[in-house]
Amino acid sequence: MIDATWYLGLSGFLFAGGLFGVLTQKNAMRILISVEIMLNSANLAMVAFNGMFGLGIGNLDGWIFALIVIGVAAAEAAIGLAIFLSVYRNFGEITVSNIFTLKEQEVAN
Amino acid sequence: MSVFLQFIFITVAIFLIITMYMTWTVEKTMQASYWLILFLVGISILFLIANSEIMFAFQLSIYGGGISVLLLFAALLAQHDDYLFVGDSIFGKIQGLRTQISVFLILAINLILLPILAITNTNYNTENSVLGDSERTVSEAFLDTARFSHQLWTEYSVVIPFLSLLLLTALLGSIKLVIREWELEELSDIMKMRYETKEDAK
Repeated sequence: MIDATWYLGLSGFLFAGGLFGVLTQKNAMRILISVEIMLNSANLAMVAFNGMFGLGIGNLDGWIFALIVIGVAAAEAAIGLAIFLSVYRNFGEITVSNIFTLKEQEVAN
Repeated sequence: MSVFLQFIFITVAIFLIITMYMTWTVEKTMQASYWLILFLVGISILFLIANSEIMFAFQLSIYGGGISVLLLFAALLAQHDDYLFVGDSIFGKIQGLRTQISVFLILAINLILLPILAITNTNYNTENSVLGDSERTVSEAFLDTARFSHQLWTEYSVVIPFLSLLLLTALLGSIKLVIREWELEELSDIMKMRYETKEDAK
């Protein structure tokens, strides 16, 4: 029997790894990939908690929340990639540290 | 039995950490997307050994099949980038293309074999609940899936319309974003120059 704490520990580690990726990567695609890693680790925690508290009594709320997260991640990926393509067409790159249109406007105003 | 499942869990956990590391460090975004696919498959195996068969199916079909293909297309259409850890690090050796392909194939084969082993070595007639304490039989395992769909269509009946609306909005929004024709004045200097060079060549 695998203890739920194993799942939660792994989930926490993966979440921290995803957060590290979001904070350190420069490429927008990689940031999106790191966000996906974070979402997946959250899903893992939800399934683990559902196993701890719900599976024995027939309550599957955790699975439903995980399904919602998967749907939201699909929408986020679609919109995110459309934005990246649009930005790429405009700027010729998707390195977020080089795209500072809003910063320039802020300084100008 | 449970020792074997623990072994699978630990193996998959190590794979996940390796694939996560590779998504940060590989040279090209395209390769990072490949590694992400392995990561998503690894997560689905963890769902399987947590007795969430339906989530295993969702994860494989939506994440492993749908979202990763989207990412691959975006990586194809956008420019390849620089990466985080430059230089000769300890992990520099695994950045070579051949080594990377070998590691990728080894992990991929293992990730294919592990769920098969997890399913075939699970004795559904005895106590096998990984996270819960209940005893599960084959019919009970499918009962959980039935309960899931029942709960989804009764208690959480708003979820499917909500997700449908969200995905439809995302679809329309992405189309609107992508089909927009940019005026030459709106573009950055580099892109303006690139388009002007193209027009001159014509």
